[in-house]
Amino acid sequence: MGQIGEILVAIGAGTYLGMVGGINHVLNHVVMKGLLFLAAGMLAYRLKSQNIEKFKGIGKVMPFTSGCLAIGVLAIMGLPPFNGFISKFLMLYDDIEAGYWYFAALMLLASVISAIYYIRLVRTVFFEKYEGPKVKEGPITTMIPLCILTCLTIFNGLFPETALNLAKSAADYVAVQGKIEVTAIPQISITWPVIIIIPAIGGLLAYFLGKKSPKIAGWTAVIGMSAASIAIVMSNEKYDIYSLSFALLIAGVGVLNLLYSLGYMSHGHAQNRYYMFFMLMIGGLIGVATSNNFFTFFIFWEIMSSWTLYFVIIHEETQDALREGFKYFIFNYIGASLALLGMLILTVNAETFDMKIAASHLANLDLTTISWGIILMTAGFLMKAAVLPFRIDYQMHPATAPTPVSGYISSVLLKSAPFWLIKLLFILGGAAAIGKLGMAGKAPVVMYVMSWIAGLTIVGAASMALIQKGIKRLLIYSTVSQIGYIILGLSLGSTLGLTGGLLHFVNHMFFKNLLFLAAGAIMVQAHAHNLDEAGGLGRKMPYTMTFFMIGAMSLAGIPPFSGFTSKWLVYEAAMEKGQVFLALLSLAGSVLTMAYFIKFLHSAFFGTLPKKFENVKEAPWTMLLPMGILSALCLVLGIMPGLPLNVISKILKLMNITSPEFTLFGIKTPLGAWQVGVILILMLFALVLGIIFFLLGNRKVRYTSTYTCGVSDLEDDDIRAQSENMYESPDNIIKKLHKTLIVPVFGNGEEEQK
Amino acid sequence: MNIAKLAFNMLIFPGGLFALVSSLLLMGIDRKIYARLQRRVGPPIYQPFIDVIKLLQKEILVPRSANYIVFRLAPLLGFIGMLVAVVLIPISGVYPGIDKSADLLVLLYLLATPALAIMVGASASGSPYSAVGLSREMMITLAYEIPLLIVLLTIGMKTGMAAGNFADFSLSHIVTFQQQKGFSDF
Repeated sequence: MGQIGEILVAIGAGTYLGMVGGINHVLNHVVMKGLLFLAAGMLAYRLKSQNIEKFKGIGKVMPFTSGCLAIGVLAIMGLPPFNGFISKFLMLYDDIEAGYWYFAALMLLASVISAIYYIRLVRTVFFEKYEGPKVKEGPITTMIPLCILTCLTIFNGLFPETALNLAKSAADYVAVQGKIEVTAIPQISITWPVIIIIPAIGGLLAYFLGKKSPKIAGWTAVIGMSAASIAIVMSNEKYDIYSLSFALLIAGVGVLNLLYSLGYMSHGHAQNRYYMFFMLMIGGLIGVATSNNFFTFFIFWEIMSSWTLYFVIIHEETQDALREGFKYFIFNYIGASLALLGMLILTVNAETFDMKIAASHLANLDLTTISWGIILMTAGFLMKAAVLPFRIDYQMHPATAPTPVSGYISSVLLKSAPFWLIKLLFILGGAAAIGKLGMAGKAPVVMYVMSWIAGLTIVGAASMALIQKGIKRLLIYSTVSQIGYIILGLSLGSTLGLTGGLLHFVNHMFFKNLLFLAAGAIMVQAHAHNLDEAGGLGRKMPYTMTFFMIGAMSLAGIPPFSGFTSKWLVYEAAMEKGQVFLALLSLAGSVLTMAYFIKFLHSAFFGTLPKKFENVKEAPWTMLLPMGILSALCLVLGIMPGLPLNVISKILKLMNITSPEFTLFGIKTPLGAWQVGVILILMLFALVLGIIFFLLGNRKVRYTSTYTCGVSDLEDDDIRAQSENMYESPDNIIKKLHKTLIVPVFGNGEEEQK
Repeated sequence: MNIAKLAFNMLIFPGGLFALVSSLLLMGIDRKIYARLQRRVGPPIYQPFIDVIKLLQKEILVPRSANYIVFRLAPLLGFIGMLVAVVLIPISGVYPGIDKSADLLVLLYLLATPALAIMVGASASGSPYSAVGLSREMMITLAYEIPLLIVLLTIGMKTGMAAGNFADFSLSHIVTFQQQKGFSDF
């Protein structure tokens, strides 16, 4: 019914465009609803019930019919690349063009609400346990129409021109009859570049080839992703350096995480499905990085952050995973709707989807309207970047996802938000536009607010990380805090800020992924899920521990590891702009960072080894190799900041911002300097001196039993300090602050967890 | 930058030999003054030298629950951080420091490494007492870092504002500023 209402709204707007959108939607609606009714009818016929309770887990028994149902549901939710999205987009576009932006907002709200029950339906059908009687798939005669309708749904989504031309000729006829002026319709056409087709096909191949053997699925995915990376390198002339370098990072880290998944998932279920959705998600992300057209950008944005993400984070199918995945899905959907509304306001006024042309039009347009578009988009992106200092558990990606995916989301997927913020505000010139709305000192108000949000997020999330016990929850809070640095850097909008933000963008990608992968190795080898269960693993898994330490040192920014240079640039940028409190907040965040990583290190790797871990083995090579590569990258980028800065200076040139002075081994700012090369030489000399000291002394080593004040009847398990025993008083302060400041206003997410 | 000069700075003056001798000497004087204030005779000024020599003679005790490599390497990490920090700080009129290679914020991080090294090393020993100690050391670090940060940022701002910028963290600029204005101006 809701859908029909939307059509009426669109046609009721009475413009030619509304007509095209409405008729197109009627067309698509027939296909989608037909698909839904046929599929649901088939299921109901087999189950002999229309009660949704009975549908539980039917997807496992009738995969084809339910698969078609799922595609129908995704289409009717208006998710790309299915046909529902195209017509919905047209109608929204028309509403905004006719000036009824509140209709558009209402429509988006309605689609968020409908998403809640549609995604519940998908969840019931696929991810619950099936308890009914044994049933077979429908007969072949029912399969054929289902198949045709599904194909139509996908085809109209992938290539919207065909259906659009049909709708256009119908609308032309009506327009002639009703004397409505024929206007140009927006350029809705999607080009599918080869760098996105490769991962998509790789994912489908992994699904179908890997049905029998998960190994084949995994290797197909790895090979597909490597091919995609090569394709990105080959197509270096088509895209600017900013998009290209991000796309390359996406694909490169994707290869590492897929390789890691081979070891991590080796005992998991339905691995081919996992690889398919992971690959599709990466494909969407590459699209987000490389699209230079607002329309295709938004399609890829939705592919990357809605259904593929949902299916991949709930892969474990536990109750927790489903609940958290659902929460994150809805949160993302709301964020994407905000961004969509903003983007429509922007493009309708600029009358083009092409970013370059839109950017050149920006100066001549009504600035208040445009800036609202930009602000809405910024809000959507900030939601994706998870920077809001309250109730962080809502905006965090769930800890229940498979670890390679968690690592990928934290390190790469969330970066799509700062990536687009920078593109929107600096490359396309949005910062100048919102500056007209009002200035706070020398910065536009919006950017000023953004920098404060980022500063508070750094400290808020870091202190919440300090009190966590879950292995992955700690790391996820840490991600939220670290992305705060990136947003802080870019919201300052200066040379130093943007350089620092972009450098942290890259550095964080490697070290956070490394930390997640190392944590995943603990989880899969020792079956520990929170820090209290782990302990003493450093002796059993020395490589994992070494890699984790490198990642942790980079995270805490101990010179000369990689995190230092970028954080240092962000501090200097804040000080240069006179934002003393923001500099102080970000520096304090770093101290907290050091505290929580030592807590992690202590509780997971050091201490006495529990008896149950006596047979724990080091992770297999497929897991160690990606970690090794990432650690090497952390070290190289730490010692040679000139390598990434070289690319960053080219990106800054795109924004017409002067780049900082740098060499391969160092960087100089107006406030100070950081020459890693010199410091490294000094450190090596100091190391030599220290070793001489060691050698001068008595070199005899005697092993003693652990000192316990003379008590001799304690087992190893009794004397291990648990993670909850660490930092009791700061923990209590944070908990109390959380209770008094955040819980009364925003509710408590921590209690629900444990 | 001349590597031979760096080596000299690191190994002889003001790092290395000079730093070790002068720091132990200062520690001896410090203990002497403490003792006199408490009306004790106190140890001789060369006491820290004897202590170091004695401690070097002792055999190394490693708990069985320790993570051997991290336990042994952690002190080295702290030593490196501290020694590099010593070399970076200029001594006005005597030693210009190694300017244009690091600034006050780098120094701040280097000064934090010994505390970090002690914590990691203690943690690696596997003893429950060291866990308590580590926890308390971290608490103290959290407590003193913020005031230290405020002080350092203020110094940077004072120096920078004199030159018309908002802040300046260059160590040589800070020392020059101090030479011109005297310490009371901070």
